[in-house]
Formats: sequence, structure tokens, C-alpha cells
Amino acid sequence: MSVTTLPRPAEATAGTAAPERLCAWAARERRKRAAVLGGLTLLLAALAMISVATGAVSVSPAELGAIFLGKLGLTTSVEASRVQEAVIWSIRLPRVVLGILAGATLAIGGAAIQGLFRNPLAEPGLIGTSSGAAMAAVIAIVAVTHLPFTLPAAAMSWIVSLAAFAGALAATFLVYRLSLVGGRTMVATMLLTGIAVNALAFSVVGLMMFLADDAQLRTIAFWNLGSLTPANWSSLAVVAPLMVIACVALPMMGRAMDALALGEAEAHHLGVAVQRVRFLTVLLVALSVGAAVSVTGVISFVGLVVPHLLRLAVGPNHRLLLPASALLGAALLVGADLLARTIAAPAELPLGVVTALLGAPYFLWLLIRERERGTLL
Amino acid sequence: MSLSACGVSFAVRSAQLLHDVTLKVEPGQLLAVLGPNGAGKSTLLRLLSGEASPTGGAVRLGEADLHAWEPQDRARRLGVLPQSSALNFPYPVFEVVLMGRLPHARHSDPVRDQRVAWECLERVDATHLAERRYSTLSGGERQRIHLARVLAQLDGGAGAADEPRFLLLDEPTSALDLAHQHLVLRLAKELTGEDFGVLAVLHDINLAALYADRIAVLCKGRLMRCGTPEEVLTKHCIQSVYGVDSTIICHPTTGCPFLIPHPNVAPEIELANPKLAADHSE
Repeated sequence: MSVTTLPRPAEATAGTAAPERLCAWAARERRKRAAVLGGLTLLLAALAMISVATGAVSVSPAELGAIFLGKLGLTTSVEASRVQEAVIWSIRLPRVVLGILAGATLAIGGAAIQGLFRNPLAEPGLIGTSSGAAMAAVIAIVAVTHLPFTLPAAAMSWIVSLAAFAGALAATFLVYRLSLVGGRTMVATMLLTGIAVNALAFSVVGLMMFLADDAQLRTIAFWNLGSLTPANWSSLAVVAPLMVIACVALPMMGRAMDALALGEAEAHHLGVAVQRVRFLTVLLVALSVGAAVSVTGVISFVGLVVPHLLRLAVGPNHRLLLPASALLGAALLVGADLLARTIAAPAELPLGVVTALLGAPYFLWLLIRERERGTLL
Repeated sequence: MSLSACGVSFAVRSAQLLHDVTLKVEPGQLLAVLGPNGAGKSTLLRLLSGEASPTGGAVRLGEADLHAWEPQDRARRLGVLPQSSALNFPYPVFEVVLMGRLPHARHSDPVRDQRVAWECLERVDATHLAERRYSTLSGGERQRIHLARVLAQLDGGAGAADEPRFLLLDEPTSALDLAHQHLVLRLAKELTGEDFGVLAVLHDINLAALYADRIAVLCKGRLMRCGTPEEVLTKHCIQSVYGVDSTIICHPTTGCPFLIPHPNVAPEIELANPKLAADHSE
């Protein structure tokens, strides 16, 4: 090979060493992937179990097992009471399932949007998804009481959820459309449009709060800080499919997102259908995050921090980053919800407050440490 | 099979960046594209890579229009080395090279992908960087890593492929030291022996004369000359395109033309149209 005539750096290896180094590298990558995904799955499972078992009505692990086996038609020596069964089945389990799905959706959406924009500061909130949802939900909360007839409480919460979902989609697609210039997406335009749409949305939220009465203000505050309390099987049946689809489909675009990290033109040269990947990603994120936010309210910190934290720990490869983000986001939200409802029991802290209270200082510590090591970004 | 621009024009709003350029990249040949700043070299590259569509004429890869190709099929035959890449995330170098294997996802397996990527790293003299983070590399090292990535994309490892492939290099030597400038162009030349057609946009006229089989000169969006270095690099051509007086001598060992510019730039030099240059840099 012609390069052998050049002076080679001292650490360059002889030809025979290459395959060994390659095998070691490949083996290390496989082990890392298994360890990260396995570890996070275990963490999520443990937190989910603890969360289901913890609360005002105490349930022992044996009774918990009996309830699940009972649902499968099996009887055991341990008998769980009807109250225990009702609490587990209709309150705690849907709550934990919603926590898992919403956390996974927010975090994987954050990772996907960051990858798409090659910008570690991006998150679904930045392209209008969260603020659009918040604006529409708040308008719905205030407007519903001005209707000439009174709606039942259940119908009201459905209307708010629907409005939030529609608002998330509308704001995201407004931002997406406005940043399409001659068939190409301008990343800077998209982020700036997102900032403008966010400002508009938050000013409308402010206006609605000005118009709202005390009861509405409480609902708005509750909605803006996020909570898993509204979880029930019927609302889950509606939103879960959207969230599951996103969590399955987004990791399949991992390689394309790695190529996009090189730049839009480079991804095109590598045979990636850039516009299609971009449109699909924005669509999946808007649908799934819109669905999550429509039930839980705004929980903004998860989508930003989880992917960032994982990128520092496991590297930027999206084929690992995307599924790992989903798992860690789910674990984080289930854990935060567990804290939110136990730390001041019987009162319940707003979930968004807990995630930010826990996440922000940790994130700052991480940034300081990385800055000192010089490995930031 | 060849990659050809057939009478292509390209206009952005009112600015005509390319006028009726016809150019063919043939397998087995290294074609250098020269020209002053704003001459339309990068625009030509964008058209030939399919990144932009010509507003007139057509770009063909083989018999078919470039845009009719399925993206991954196209990407296995046509690769582009960009001038610089904005990779913001700290990927390990070896993963960056592996990204080049993306269009082979349906035709290859991970073991083969890794082997090809490794061979391509060897070809650009960068195996010692394999485990480093991309973000810690110097500009010249990054350039070589991207070259390895594009080689991996075109299956340019040690094993020969059975069909022509095309490599477009956008100022591949701009960030490199003398040794690596020659390494990259010698590699490009070597690839032409493996059924590659290579097009390199260059600024260094003497480097082009040393390695290119043919040289195309662009000026103000038009193709001025295209031919062997001896045909193209004349005192008159350099004067009319760059407005620089020069003497052309024979390279002492290879005999190819060697340009020695004269120190005093002619006062009537007409710099590239500023409007053209501004639109072009978008």
C-alpha cells in the first residue's frame, strides 16, 4: 500500500494488530450495549415494582403477586383484599404505566429532536410541541366554563386533553412548515421559529391566567406542572398506542440520525432520504409527546436532560442512545412520581417540580464536572 | 458508466451561478476542477452529487438521471468528501468511518463493515486515531477521517469492487500539511486504478498539474477549458482566468507543467462579481 512510504506515527500498529484491535472494539461495543440496556431495564422494573407497592394502602410483595396471578385466573395461598386489588389495578398500575410511557416518550423525543437538529440544546419544547399543548389546554380550561351549559367533569378533562393534543400538533407543524425553504429545512430558522411560537404561546397562557377565576387558576397551575394523577385505563387506551409506536419506530431511524449528525448534505450523500427522515421524526415526536402531554400536562425537563446525560455516559451513537433514553426517561419519571406522592404524603407534589428539583442540580453538577474534564459536548 | 453534467445551468433567484456546463467524470481518470473564488466550482459539485437539481440540463450517472437513482444505490456508487463537516457530537473516530457503511445496510454485515472501515482508515494513514473522539482531532485529521468514511461508503477497502464508482472531493487538501496533501492526491490517483472516477476541486494549480489526468477550468460560471494539464495550463489561460502573470516551466522530475506566478498582480484584475460570490456562499 502506498502509504507505507510515509513516516508513520509511533502508535500506529503493525498490520497484524489491526484485526485484534477491531475485535476488541466490537466486543466492547456489544458488551456496552447489553450492559446499558440491561441495566436500565432492571432499574425501570425495580422502580415500577416499588411504585406499584407503595402508597396509602400498603401491599406486601406476596399480596402483589397474588393480585397479578389472580388476574391470570390463578389462586394462591395469599389472599389480597378487594380494596388492595382495586387500588393496585385501577389507580397505581395505570399510573405507573402512564409514567413509563410518558417518560419514555419525552426522553426519546428529546433525543430524536436533538439528533435531528445536531444540537444538544434542542428538545420537543423548543419546536413548539409543549407550549402549543399548554396554550390550547389553558384556553380550553378557561373557555369551557363560558359555555352556556355545564359539562360533567369527565367530559371537561377529555376536552382539555384533546385541545392539548391538537395544540401540540398544530404548533409543531406550524414551526415545521415555516422552516421549510424551497423543500429544505433550515435548522436555524426552525429553532428561531420555535422560539417565536413559544413566546406567543406563553403570552396567550399568561393572558388566559389573567382572565381565569381562582378555580381555573388552580387547574392551570396543576396542568402546567404536570402530574400522573389523571391516569386511568380508558385514557391510556387512547394515548398509549401513539407513545408505543414512537418508542418502537424512532430507534429504527438511529443510523439515519447518526448520518444526519454529519450534516444534511453529508446525510444526503450517504443515501439518506433526509426530508423523509426529518418529516417522520417530527411527526412521531409531535404525535407521541402531544399524546403524553395531553394527559400528564407539561413535564419539560426530562426531554432535555436524559439524552444529554446518556450521551455523556454511553456516547452519541443513536442506535444505543434512542432506546437507552426511552428506558432512562421512563425510570426517571416513575421514580420522580414515587417521590412526588410519598415525600409529603398524603399531599402530592407536582411532578414537574420534582423532576426539575432533582434534575436541574444534578445536570449542573454534571456540566461543571464535564467542563473541568474538558469533555463537554 | 460515467458521471456527467450535460449542459447544466444553475440559477438562484436572479444570479446565474452556472451556464451550460458539460463535463464528464470517467472511471480511471482524475479530473481536477480549478477556478477563482466564486467561479461555480462548489455549485458544480452540488449538482454532480445530486444535492441540488440543475435549473437547466441534466446530471447523469450511467444512463439514468442522477435523481432517478434510488438514494442508497446512488450512494454506493457516488461519494462526496465535503470541505468541512459540522459534527457536533463526540463520536469515536471509528464510528464516524462506520457511518460510511450506511448505504450497505441491506448488502453487508457488521463484521464486513468493520473490516472495510478499518482498511479505509489504513489507506488514509489514520488507524492510530481509531479510538479517539472525533471532537479532539485537528482539522487535517478530521479531513482524513472523512476521506476514510467516504472510501468505506464506496467499498474502497483493499478488495476491488466490480463496478465503477465516483468520488467527488471538495478542496480535499485545504487543511492538510504537505505530506498529507500528497498522500490524499496519490490515494485519489491510486483509486483511479481501481475503476474509480475522481473529481477534485483544487486551489493549488501545481498540485492539480502533478496528479490530474484532465483539468477543467471554471470562470464566472462557465467552463473555460477542459483538457490535459499541458493543454490547459498556459500563460494565457492563467492570465485570463485569474488575472495573474506567470511563467510556466517543466516540472524537473515529472515533466508536467509547473506554474510560477509573478509577484505583481496586474492592476486591471477583475475580481469575481461580489453578488455572485455572496449568493454562492449560501
